[in-house]
Amino acid sequence: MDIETILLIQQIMNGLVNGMTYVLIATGLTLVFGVLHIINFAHGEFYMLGAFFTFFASKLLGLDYVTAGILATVAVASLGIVANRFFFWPLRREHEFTLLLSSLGLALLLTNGGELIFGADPKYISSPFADGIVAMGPMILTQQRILIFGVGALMLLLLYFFIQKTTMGKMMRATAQDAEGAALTGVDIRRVYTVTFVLACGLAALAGALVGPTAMIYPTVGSWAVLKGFIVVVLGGLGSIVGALIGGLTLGVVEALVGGYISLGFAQAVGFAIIIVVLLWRPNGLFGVARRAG
Amino acid sequence: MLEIRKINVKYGQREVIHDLSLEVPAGGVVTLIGSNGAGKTTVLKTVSGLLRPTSGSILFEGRPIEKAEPHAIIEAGVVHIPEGRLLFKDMSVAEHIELGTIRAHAGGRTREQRLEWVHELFPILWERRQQKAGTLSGGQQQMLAIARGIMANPKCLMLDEPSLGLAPILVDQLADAIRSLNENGITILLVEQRVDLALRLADRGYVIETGRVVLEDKASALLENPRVKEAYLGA
Amino acid sequence: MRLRSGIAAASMALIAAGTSLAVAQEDNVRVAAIAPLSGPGAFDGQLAIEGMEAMVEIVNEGGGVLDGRMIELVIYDDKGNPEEGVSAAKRAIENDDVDLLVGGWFSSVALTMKEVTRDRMLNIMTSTQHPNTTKEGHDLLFRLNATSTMMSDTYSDFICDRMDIDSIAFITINDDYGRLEAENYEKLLGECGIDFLGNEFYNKDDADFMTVLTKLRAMNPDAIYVSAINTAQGATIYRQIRQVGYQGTTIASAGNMNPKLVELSGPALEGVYSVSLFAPDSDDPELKAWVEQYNEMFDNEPSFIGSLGAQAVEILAQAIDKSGAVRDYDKIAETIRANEWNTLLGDITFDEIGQAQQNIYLIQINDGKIETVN
Repeated sequence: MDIETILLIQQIMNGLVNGMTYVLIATGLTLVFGVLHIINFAHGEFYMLGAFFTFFASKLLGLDYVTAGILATVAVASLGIVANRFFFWPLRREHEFTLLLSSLGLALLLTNGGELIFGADPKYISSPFADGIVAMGPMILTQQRILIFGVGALMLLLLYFFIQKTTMGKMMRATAQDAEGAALTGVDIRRVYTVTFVLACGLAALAGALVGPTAMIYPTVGSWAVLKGFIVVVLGGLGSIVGALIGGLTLGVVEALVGGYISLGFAQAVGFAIIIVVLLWRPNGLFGVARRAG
Repeated sequence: MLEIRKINVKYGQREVIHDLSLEVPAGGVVTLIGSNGAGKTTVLKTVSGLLRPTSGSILFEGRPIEKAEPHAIIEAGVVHIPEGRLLFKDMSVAEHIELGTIRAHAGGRTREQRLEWVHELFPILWERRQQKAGTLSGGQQQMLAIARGIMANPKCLMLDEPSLGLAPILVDQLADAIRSLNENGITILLVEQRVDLALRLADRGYVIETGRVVLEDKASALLENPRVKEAYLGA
Repeated sequence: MRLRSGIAAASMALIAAGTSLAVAQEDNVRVAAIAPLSGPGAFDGQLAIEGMEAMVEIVNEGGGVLDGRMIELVIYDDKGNPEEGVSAAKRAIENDDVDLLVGGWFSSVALTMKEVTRDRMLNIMTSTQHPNTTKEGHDLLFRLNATSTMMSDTYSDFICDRMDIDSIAFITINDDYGRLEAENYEKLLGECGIDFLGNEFYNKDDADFMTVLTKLRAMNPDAIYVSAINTAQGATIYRQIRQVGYQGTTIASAGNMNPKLVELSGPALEGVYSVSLFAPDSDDPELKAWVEQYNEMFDNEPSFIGSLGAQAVEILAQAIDKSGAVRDYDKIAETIRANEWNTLLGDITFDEIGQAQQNIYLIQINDGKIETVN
């Protein structure tokens, strides 16, 4: 292989790993929208909390990275119960815009609370896999990045299985397609809300715990996460998990290629350019389900 | 069996049901008659827990259910088959049947017996069990909505406009199915635009106008009532 | 997102207004401190403000300025962006009527902010390295940091003389400072025969640098020069350089080293060189007093950027005392230009255009500590 081909493959690999992070973030966002029709602006903050909880679990409790990450994911997933209880469930009969504002309020609360409690100084989650390099021929990935991709893919498979095969998953799908019909079939809508938020927050936190060691973390990192999540969700279609998968990987690869062959500045812009094109061409996203009016 | 006592119900700020009372005796078939917007669907939604009455009470087998969640009301034995069926269009027939059982009332028929019963009543659904609900015909969708309801093992079944959009031949089949359900011990509360059909199926009828009961009688008597004839039977 | 940053901005403004109202006192000398307190540069802004606060404490404990007036900081957030910097400076001058102004941590902010203070407000610019901050400055403007040209002159001599490299590639921030830095080094290092293989820009809100670092690695340079003006991005870049499998020499940009960066970057910064005005192992008594005060007040380790903030406060306090003026900016400016100042970073003077003439030290990271190299 000549050097140009190697570079191209390497960039695509970099992009797929970043894309898998976007997928993990966007899946929770799309799940909450698809099942509950809620646009959750606070979603990125659960990514931030996942990263910070991992950091503090390993620093204060002396846990190893993997245990700390699992603990953080579980803790943030449980916070999903609280968030739903106070910020979403009580407003379920209100106008969508009220819910939107509520999620915005929650986002500000968590960011500012995070700055107050965690401090503005950047932090680093140390992971034994962060700098370990795995060479695949001339191509290189760190162990951490392989971990991100592997765990991300595994989680999506598990989620797919959960939603397709388990009774709870079927109840979520039923609620997504017709909430009133679901209630009249015996679906406990409140439990569906709770489980959906637990899954979404857990996935976001897991992404935070996984990506943490590849960069620095700071309390405003959630706004980055939610922005990437929304780009993917618009690309793949709100409410579609397959769309989030394809949209996330696509965005990752496109950003890597644009960053690698044009410039990083363009890579940021390309996400928004994609959104505009997709919205003009297919307003429901590439894989989106059109929403019923009202 | 089901007793509604002087309920008032609001939709947003507007009160749409005023001091409405009615009773469905065990084993009976009761129908609600009224023009569009009279409040029939609202009454059913209130009984099934989708809406909360601002005052009054709803008793099922003597126990108040007006504050219960929809799934708890289903567990108690009251099942509402809504207007427009509200199926899950991307889910299969089998998944609908499965979801129907998640809050089934305990006692009476077993899950297997109900499955067999649905199979008997609607053999076509069995053939199409892997098909998505959205791909079924209108008649089949109505069958599926009823089948989903039967799987919850109801003591009392509330049907809202089941004949809506069905061809005449299917309406006859539907009437047979409702009769068969009642003969098998299920109490029926029926809201139906085809008033003649409804009154022929029912023992008793209530006429509702702008959220109030204005007339209540035996179904056979209502069929002969000149006011009902003029307003609802097109005679 | 726009709505969100709008709300954030509004709440920041409320906080800023709140602090300035709460502590305003009639006879205090009020100094506007404009720094990036949110966004990726937030931590560096925090270090800068902490440095200033520690020195204010020292000055006030020593009896303040003139006949016992206390120095009071009025703090503003420029978010590291030029528009916010301009609006903060305008608010400070027009609404809050501050006496003096310290700002300009990032060059992009300093270059626009100087037009607000032009001939109107005594203004000390701090860590900005862009030559135009002073070259196109004004009579009331002084800048503490060495310019990137002064830094690169010193640094490139060192790179040519002591580092055994034949080729170099750059990763620099996409602003005036970054562009100028890449140009400078391309010229200076070219003169001693080091091949300039390329430069990749990143933006101030980028969080991942793998793609451009992969590209730099593929150029196969002997060294990669990293221009990182904020700690969060800097640490990420240093770590990711190793994560793309690059094994050559890393060169850290001039004037951007701090203990937090060293801590966050871990092994990736071990043995790496930089140049700085701040010699952490110096035994200057002023510096020691400040470090002591700083450690008493704050959890962070004292940093170069904080020492510049402290130096700004120190020079303002001394110049007020010496000139006897607070609001007569021409007189203060004249005094600053005419004298030598004894500061925590050593004795310094200013040239006609307000540029400080400071000592530049070569430093290296050894065992996680910043040390001076002789």
